[in-house]
Amino acid sequence: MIKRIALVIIVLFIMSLSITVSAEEESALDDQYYDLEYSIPDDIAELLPDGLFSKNDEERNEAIKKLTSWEYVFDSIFEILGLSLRDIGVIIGKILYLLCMCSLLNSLSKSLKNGSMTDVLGLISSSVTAITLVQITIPYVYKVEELFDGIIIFVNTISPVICGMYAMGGNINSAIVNNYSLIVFLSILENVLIVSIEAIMGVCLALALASAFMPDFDLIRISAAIKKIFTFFIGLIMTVFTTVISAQNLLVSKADSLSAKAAKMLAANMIPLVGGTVGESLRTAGASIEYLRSSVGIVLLGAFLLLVLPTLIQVYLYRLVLTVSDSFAYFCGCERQGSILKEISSVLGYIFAIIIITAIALLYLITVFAKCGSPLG
Amino acid sequence: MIESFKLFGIAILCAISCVMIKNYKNEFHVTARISGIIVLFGISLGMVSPLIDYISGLAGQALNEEYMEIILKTLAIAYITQISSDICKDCGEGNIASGVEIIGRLEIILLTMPLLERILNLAGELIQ
Repeated sequence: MIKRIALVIIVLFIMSLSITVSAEEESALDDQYYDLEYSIPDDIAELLPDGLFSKNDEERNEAIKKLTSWEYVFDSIFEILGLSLRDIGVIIGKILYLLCMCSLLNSLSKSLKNGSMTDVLGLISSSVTAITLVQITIPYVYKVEELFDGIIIFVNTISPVICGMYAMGGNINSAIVNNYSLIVFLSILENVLIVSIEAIMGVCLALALASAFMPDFDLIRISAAIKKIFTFFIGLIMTVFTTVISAQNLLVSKADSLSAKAAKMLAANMIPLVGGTVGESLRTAGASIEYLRSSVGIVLLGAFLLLVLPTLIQVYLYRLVLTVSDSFAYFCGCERQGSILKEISSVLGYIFAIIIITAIALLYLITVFAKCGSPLG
Repeated sequence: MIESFKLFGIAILCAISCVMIKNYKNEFHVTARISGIIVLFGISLGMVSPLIDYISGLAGQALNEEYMEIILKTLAIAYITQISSDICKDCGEGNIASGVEIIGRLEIILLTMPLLERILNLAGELIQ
């Protein structure tokens, strides 16, 4: 008799410990997801499909499907390209005018018998070219700085969303590890990448200016050496970072899976009558969380790509213009101007590499989040 | 093209006149030479004016006006220095010709001082 009473009390006690998805947790996570809309710059938010941050599930799902369609991707790229081509057209015009003028001046100066006069005129035309080119390049430096500030804001905004969704699906250890990974990523971004870009760009552009005025000193080799060393170290840091993240994620996902399976087994065996149903419902919840996680992951990937693409395309196009102008300069007989164009193009190549490395690391983190299976499933 | 033939004709006439004057009145030979150079220089200024306008038009699209002014002034000083130096050498005054060249170079360096200052300021801003 006493045993039956004790059993009834235990069953009643266990049933009172029902796991509920509280409305407070859901609304807190939704708010974090909707906060993403405000962390994205307005000109990028305009490119995102309508309804992406809608509270209506159907509208949101449609917008996510549209985000991953080829048509949308190509339309966005061409729109960004169109906006960039206008600015690039102006720059091409300026550089071509500059080179034609330098070529004319070189021809006129060669008619002077005095070699030192010819050298002085060459020096002046290359100095003027260097100053003009550096002044054209400086806005791109600011654009890259703005991009990195934007990435920092983006990472700070997505961090609670990602960690919350990891925890929601039972990946408690993954939530902790990925939160730590995002903090490490931000530290690398702020203390290594941004600092190195500002330093390298400043020093290399200053050396390009100086080499225009002192052609006898091969300062461009010094800047090439500096760029090579920094590119190597940054590549090494990011490779180590992604390797460690991969290893940690593998380990903690297995640990989470083990804990969840143990909990499910306990629930199935300890809870009488409804224990099996609890296990099945947890599996369904896990699958729905995986779907939600992959949808949010796609939104984050899309938003991040739209954040990075405009600056990336603009830097690449400007670099392309400089490379073509460099060939044109050698064709016109403006070797000095050609070497300045080559040097600035090389600096932009370094910046392009750093942006790509940063983007790949963050895309990897987001993809790991989107692909991470729920241990409840 | 016809203008060019005229100019070549004038230049050859000047040269022949200078040789003839040198044979008959040696003391007027230098004067005749300088007059011929001035005439040819004056005609070339008329020809160079549309070229300068064209270069200014090209440069105006890409450059600051201040830099364009420096370039054109430097070009003018270079040509004047060369012509003056050549006249002095023809007159047999090599030392004076060297002096003229030195003055020309110093003038050009003084003209490029704002350019050098701009480069140093820009380099300083970039490094900071």
